[in-house]
Amino acid sequence: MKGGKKGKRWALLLTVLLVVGLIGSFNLPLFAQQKEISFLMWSSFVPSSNLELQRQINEWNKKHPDVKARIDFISYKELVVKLATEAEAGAGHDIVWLRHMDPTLYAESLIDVDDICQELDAKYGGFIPAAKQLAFYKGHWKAVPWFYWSTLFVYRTDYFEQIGETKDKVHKYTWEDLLAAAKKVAALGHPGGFQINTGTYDANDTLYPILWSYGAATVNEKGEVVINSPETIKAIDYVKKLFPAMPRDVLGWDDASNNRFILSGYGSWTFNSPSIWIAALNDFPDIARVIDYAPVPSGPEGQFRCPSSASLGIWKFSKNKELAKDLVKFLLEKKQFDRQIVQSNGYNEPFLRDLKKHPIWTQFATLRAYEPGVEQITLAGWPGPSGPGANKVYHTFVVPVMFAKALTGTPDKEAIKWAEDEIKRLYFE
Amino acid sequence: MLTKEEKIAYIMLLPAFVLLFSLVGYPLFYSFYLSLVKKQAGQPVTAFVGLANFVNLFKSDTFRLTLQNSLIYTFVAVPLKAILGLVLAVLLSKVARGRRVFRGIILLPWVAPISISTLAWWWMYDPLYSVINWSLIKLGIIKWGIPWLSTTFWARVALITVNVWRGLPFFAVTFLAGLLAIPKDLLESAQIDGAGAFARFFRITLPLLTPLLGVIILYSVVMTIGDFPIVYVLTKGGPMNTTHVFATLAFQEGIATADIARAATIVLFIFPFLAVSSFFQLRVIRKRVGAI
Repeated sequence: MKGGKKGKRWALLLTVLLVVGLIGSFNLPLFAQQKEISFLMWSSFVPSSNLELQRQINEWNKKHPDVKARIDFISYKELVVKLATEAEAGAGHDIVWLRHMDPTLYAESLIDVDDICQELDAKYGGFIPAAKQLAFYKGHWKAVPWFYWSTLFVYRTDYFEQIGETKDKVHKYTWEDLLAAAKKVAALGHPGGFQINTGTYDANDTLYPILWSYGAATVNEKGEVVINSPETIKAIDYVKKLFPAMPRDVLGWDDASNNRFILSGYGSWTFNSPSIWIAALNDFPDIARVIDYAPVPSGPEGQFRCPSSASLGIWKFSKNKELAKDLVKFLLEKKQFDRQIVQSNGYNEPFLRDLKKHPIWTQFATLRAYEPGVEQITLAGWPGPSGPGANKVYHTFVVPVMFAKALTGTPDKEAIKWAEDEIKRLYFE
Repeated sequence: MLTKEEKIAYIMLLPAFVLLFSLVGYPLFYSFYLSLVKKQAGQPVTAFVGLANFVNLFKSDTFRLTLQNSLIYTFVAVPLKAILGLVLAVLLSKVARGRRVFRGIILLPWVAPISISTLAWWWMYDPLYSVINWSLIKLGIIKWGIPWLSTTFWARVALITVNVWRGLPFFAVTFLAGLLAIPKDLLESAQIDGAGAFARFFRITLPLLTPLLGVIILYSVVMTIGDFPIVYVLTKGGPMNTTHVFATLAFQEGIATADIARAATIVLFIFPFLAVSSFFQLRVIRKRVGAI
């Protein structure tokens, strides 16, 4: 009998444990469960920027006690894979950080965010034109343009002073002025250079402005491929004249090579975002003191800047679209954006006009050319219409490879024809 | 009628088969399907295009260059690994003292995480800080630094060097096992009969190693032609797309542009080479095993 009672007790205990386990595994809502929204974010070059974002997410969480927002930082290389995977799998984060014209590439998988963009547009003085190129596609805003970071002409003031070039002169450079100065600093033993390589976004951001300022483009306003033009030959001729004043290694540089080049003390100029100066402030203060950022040089057909840009999209498969929209709006509010600017050391530039009126860029003399910029801000694919083709050409580095081929012995016309065929395939196939 | 042991064998193999099918087989068949359609990540299939994806790939200069790169990369690196691996195995078989230490040390390139070891090589090839260039200049062997990653020739040399460095231990250790399995009295008899070292190696050792050689060369061809981390970390296919292999091109043209149908088509080109390579390798192995 005792054995029987003991046996029954064990059976009861096991049954209770089984039921609890089943409940746990099926997530039955016995208790009110906290909703969760997840945000996939690029890990910025500026570490304090990531910390500030986490702090802002925590602040939003305090205002929404029944919701938990989570931010996952990953490197850009992983982000590219993650975006494709989440879009294809129809599962993943609610909010995603999108780079360049990704909103047009993943347009079918993102919700329309016209309400957010129209509200921000009205509230903060309007978006700059590049914002529409970035995220407005087939009549709708597919993501909220968040910020961009620009590739400017960054140079060592001490080396340039040795060749008689003052800051005021450098800030008014044309490409021909740069060519003359580049030859002189190379003769001093301190050449400059920029990437002309595949797999390197800095190469895109430097070479597209050269194309545009000589009147060339990948596509025209109607979306026709126009890279095969006398203007493209002029742009290539210019870079051919500049190339001997650069280390030949630029053909193999990656996105960090020009940073190391300047921070080593050997390099005298390159094109880059403020990441060089920010790194120098921390680790190489003597170099930071002699670094200056100047506008991208101007050409016969204008002065252009091709920034890298970030926007926030919400996947269609998100189960918390309204909450996700609320978080996105929160991050774009002036109070939050101003803190993002400060914690990024001025790296993040807003697409919204009123948010550009931040004093940080006048506070640091080094960044006075960063904002407001004198150049026309245009994204790869300009002046063509917004669409995935421009993004694909950008991500497959067609323009840098075209220049590299022409610089290494391929006849210009052959290099341009190759680029034309590639651009046509990426736009229209 | 299956015996009891056969039934148990099949049942025990079933979980492995299910796992293999779901993790390898299903993605493989899905890739075949994707190569026949037009599809962007996140969008439904827009059209069935048959072999048009393959035809369009062949029209692409970049793809034809990638095909060439993959063949150069594989058919230079694999023979180098085989020859150097055999030499290393013979030397290791002669070592009497510290045998375990030497064998442990030579395995390091193989066991080190590939991305980390490739990053170390990337630093050694860096245009500003290359320790290889610095050493060669200090020794007076070269006057100017070698443009390791910025010219096509040297970039290919750099990639093949890293691939050989990494794969060599696998060949060496496997060959060593084969060498130690050769009956000593065969070699002793040949020596007594007047055969020199070369004759003993080419007429006894090498023929007996041939089946093993066939298997590991086949394995190495499969791994080398499908390589991704070494090329991606060192060059990302540059300069000018001249070091792309199938996997890196598929990543650039497929993942970065969300064109997963194109990515699937590119990587499927690995199959014909693997099939042909497997056929010839296994034929050689069967012949040798039959002869022995």
